[in-house]
Amino acid sequence: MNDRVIHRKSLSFVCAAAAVLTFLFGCGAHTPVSRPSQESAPAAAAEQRVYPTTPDEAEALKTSGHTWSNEEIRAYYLKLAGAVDTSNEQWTKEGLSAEQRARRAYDIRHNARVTARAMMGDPREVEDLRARDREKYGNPDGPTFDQLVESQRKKGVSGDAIYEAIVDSSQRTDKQTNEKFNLEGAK
Amino acid sequence: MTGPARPSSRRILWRQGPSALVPYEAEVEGRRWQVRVNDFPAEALYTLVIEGAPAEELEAWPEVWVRPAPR
Repeated sequence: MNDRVIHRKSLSFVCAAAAVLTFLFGCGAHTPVSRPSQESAPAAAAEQRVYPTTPDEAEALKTSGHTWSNEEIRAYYLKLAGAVDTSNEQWTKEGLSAEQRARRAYDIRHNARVTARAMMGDPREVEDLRARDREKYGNPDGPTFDQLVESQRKKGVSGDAIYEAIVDSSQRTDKQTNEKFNLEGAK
Repeated sequence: MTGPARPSSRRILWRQGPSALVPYEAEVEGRRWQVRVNDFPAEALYTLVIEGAPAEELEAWPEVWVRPAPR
């Protein structure tokens, strides 16, 4: 299977994964996880938070008046990135190669990253991030998959260990933030 | 009794920093303060670095800090 086919399949997978995560976490823009009773509907509506699964959805939600704090955005991102762990176990059972799993993990993490940044409300903060990534990676949206592979090679990693390291980095979460938002073992 | 104020609660006028990775800096009471941009959302958005040592993690730009005009 060539890279282009794998990449196309990965993109399809990301869309499917986003839909599953949306359902599981009950935070999708279009898929409520449960219907509140009529009595509790007003309170539930007031508390309901809506989260996008793509950058376009984030822009549309912002246009319609939704806002999120950076802390909230980060907690949401960490939930999405953390789901790679469970998915990776399944991919391994399905017999996917280390490279295929690494590409899927990368796609999930990258989509979550650009969606999270599209949710941000302060354009100067977004520009700071894009300028940083442009300087560091030559790309305003962060490293490409090939750059991650090259980065591992420069560290002396070789073979499938490169791809396993990329899967691991896709699962990386910030312990302090996890504790702050009680995300350990999040549903 | 309250502890010392966090650096992010002080009004600081920032100037352009040396790079996009460290886009803001200032001199405060003779010490070099810098703002580093991190790998948000995997990491906190900014880190305040004082004299080369991380001093405070920031999830957003503090309201009382004043950025320089955009480049």
